[in-house]
Amino acid sequence: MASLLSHVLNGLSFGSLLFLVASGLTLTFGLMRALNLAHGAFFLLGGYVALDLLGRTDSYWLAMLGAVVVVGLLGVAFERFLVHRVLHRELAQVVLTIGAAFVIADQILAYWGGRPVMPPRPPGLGGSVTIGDLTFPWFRLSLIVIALVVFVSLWLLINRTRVGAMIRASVDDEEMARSVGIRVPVLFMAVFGAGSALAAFAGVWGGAFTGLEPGGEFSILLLALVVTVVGGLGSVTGAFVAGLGVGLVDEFGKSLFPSFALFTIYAPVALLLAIRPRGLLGRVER
Amino acid sequence: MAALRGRWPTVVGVLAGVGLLTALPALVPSFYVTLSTRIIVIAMFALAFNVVFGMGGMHSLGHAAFFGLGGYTVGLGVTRWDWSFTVIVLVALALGAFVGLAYGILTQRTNGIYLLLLTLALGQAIWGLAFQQVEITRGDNGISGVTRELVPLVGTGALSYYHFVLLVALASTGSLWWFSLSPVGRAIVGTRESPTRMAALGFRVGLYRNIAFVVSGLFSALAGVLYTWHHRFVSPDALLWEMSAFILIVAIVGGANTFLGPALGAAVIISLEFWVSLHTQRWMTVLGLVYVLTILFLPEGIVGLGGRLRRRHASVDVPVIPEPTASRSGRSHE
Amino acid sequence: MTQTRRKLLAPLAGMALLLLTACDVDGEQDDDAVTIGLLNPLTGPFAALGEDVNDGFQLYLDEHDGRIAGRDIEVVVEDEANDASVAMEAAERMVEVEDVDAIVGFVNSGVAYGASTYIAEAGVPLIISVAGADDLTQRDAVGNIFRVSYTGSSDAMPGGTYACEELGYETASVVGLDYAFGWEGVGGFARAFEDAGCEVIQETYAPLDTADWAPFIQELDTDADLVWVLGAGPDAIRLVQAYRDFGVDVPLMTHGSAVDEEILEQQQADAEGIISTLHYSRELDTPENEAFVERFEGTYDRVVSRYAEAGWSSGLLLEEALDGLDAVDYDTLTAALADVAIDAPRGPISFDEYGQAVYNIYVREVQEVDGDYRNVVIDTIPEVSQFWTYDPDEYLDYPPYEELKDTWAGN
Repeated sequence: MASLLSHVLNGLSFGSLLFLVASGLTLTFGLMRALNLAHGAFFLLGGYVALDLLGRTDSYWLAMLGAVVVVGLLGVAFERFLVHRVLHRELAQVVLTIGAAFVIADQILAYWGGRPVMPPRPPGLGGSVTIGDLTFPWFRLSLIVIALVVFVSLWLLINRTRVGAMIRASVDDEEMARSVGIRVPVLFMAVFGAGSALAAFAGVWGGAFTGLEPGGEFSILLLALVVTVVGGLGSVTGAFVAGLGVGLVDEFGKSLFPSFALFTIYAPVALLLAIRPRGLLGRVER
Repeated sequence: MAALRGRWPTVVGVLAGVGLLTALPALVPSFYVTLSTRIIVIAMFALAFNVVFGMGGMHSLGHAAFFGLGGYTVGLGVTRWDWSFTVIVLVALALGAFVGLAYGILTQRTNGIYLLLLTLALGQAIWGLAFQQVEITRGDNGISGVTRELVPLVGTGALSYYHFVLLVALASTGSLWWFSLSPVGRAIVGTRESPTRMAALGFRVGLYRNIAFVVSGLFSALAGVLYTWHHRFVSPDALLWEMSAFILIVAIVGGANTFLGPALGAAVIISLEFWVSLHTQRWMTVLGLVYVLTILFLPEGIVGLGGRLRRRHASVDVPVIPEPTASRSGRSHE
Repeated sequence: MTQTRRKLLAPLAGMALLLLTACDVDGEQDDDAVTIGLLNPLTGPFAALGEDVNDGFQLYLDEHDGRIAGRDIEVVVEDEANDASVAMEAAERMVEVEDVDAIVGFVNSGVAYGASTYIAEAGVPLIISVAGADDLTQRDAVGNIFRVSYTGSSDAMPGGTYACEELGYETASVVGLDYAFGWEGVGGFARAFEDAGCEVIQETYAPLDTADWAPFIQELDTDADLVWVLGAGPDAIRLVQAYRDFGVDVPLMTHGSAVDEEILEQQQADAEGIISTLHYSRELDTPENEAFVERFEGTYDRVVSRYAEAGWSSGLLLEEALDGLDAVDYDTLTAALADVAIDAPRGPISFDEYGQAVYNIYVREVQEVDGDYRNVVIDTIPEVSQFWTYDPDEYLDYPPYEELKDTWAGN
């Protein structure tokens, strides 16, 4: 039987993974109201590209960098040529990005095959630490740290930098933003690119937790959506809190009530949205 | 009827279409009767879905629940509980209506993507039930051997079942069309267009949302009933969120703004899936590209292929449901 | 164009498209040729398995230049797509349009069940390539449906007896994936284990595609002598990884699926020491297997798997059945298949009266061999039927394993 500490650490580390996976989606949806349902496909693509590069370069960090750059650029192109045309049209975004997800996932299947793969952990983070009765893997601990870093960076970016202010201005009132000289189209491309890059990063670092396989583009997307929406759209803090929260609920739910394991991720969603339709920290719409 | 005056070309068109569908088995090899049956059933489901989606403006990602519940009613009613045809159908419809009402009540204050997630969660809960209540449903193995003995068919075999399905589909379509033109139906469209205005006029918005879900649930369950008897099999796959997502996409791609759009979307997409997979293993890529291209170049959906439909304010022969208007800064209403 | 005509254009176009799809090409073949339909998933979560089966089958044909038993073999490939509707239509199309003489297919058990009604009615011989639901060759068996792969419980039951009698474990905690295969596999192991005199003390199920196995792993009863796991695919990778991450000290034994060759490739050192039971191992020392492994890995540049072996063996089975047949039709081919006995890469295969393959079960242990991790065969249990050591009639009177779920621990 595991101790309380063990369960809490588990829940937090899984929750950190959830936030990591959701962070890119929160960025694009929160800032641009662009619903990117190809987010899971970008996650997958990041993981597969990194694995491919790892095979060629034998360097984990080079492979990760390459994957993040490639997928980030793909995200920029994606926004410029496709998503941009359907900004402000939510339903069109749904179908467009799902279509893109189908294409990306199918091409991954065609190129890399459908056998499940487990990407390696970052070098140095293998193995576990044992304190008394508790054995806990270093890698899971690293997830908590990484999630914190990503959260703080995003929060600062959005709330404390000029770029963040420009982005927020462009979303609130595009016409005004343009008229004061903000180059909105470039900004949007950059945001989308950053969101995709984050998805790819999650695919590399987090992929060592989840593994990569066909169908991952939607199972990962589902996790990201749950966290993003429960946290409240547009709120990185909300996503962070929601991620950790869902992680903990899932952990305790599965260990205490294993026969309801199917619902431990959805239960918080249903409950919360029924009570608070805007999610935890979602902004009120005008 | 006043609505039909001067619309003779449309009436002729509709009759021609019905005639073509009825005569279909004589025109194509027998295998295509099976495919066509499935298309008609899914088209029915799409039309039922659109009561909530296109008419009611509510984004539901949990509709597979109604479909699957209807399906399981048949599966269990035939193989386990020895029910009669009438009982099976009535229970299925009641279940669809009742769960629809539940959805409506639980989602009263939720909209947009939050509603998508909430309905997704609800749909998943029902899927989970079917999957895990093994003693009743046999879990993922599904219930097979669901015979059509109880179905009032003229003759036996796939052909007669096709005509039965066509008949039910036409009746169902007619009912839904009448519903969309009725005062209740118009009120539902009104609550989508502008909930605040409707409330100011004294309409109870919540009530009309519930009605939309009840009607939608009922007809979706009916489609599920036909689906199980078509396959003579039902499994939790009918309740997968992927099925809900599929019907959502089909409605959008077909054209959620018109009455028949979703049905057309279903027909085109299923046919496309079938035909493309005959020629390439990469049919998912092709399908994805079709979705992307449709959104980019046919903003009204496939229905808009012939040109843009002009919006009308008075009575119409093909009900048009207006898009929500964008606010000045470019964002849509919630 | 007038308003109304525009509105009609789209629905008419839709119908035209529908009719267009009906313009199908009839399968053209010469009289002597035999047409085999391959109905395995090419897309979806099991695409890799479907591809392996198809490649294994095709490779067998290629080895014989597309001619076996003196006939040209034409192959029709369709996507099972992990979808019962699509698969049923594909099966019907294979029978009615392509005129197949036999079908090799189905990975997903639910899909297999869905299609079984049509297949039974049509009478076309079907060799199930992977789908494991017990009852397809037991309570729901049909004369023209055979299975070359295992049933959910068939490869688990020997493991239960072996663990108790040979390996000396007295208590076990069992873990399974929460779906039919999991219930049947766990049930099979638990039943045999307890009938051999040992005790199951804990029974846990986790949903398919569980992203985080930690909560389940950490609740395992470490007082057990043994943890037995039924896992497959990516779940098997994550599960074993979590097992090692959290330092669970109990010996680990699994159903062979959890350490399938392509899964083992990902698990690497995490899997070392795992003992499992299955009807195949890449390391089998027979000449048939050596030839098969060499050909497959040489041609496809990926590690061989039991799914590929299933495809290859299906070719062998069909060859044996076609051998000496004058007229090939559903009845003659079905009768011939019922009587075959072959030496496949996995060893001898024949079918019992329910259409289920009878084969050897191998006890394997994951060991490091030349820097790679392999399922080294440590014991062989010959000629195992799907009923293990039980009398078939008694066995069939017993409730199906899915109904016994959650009853094994503590009785």
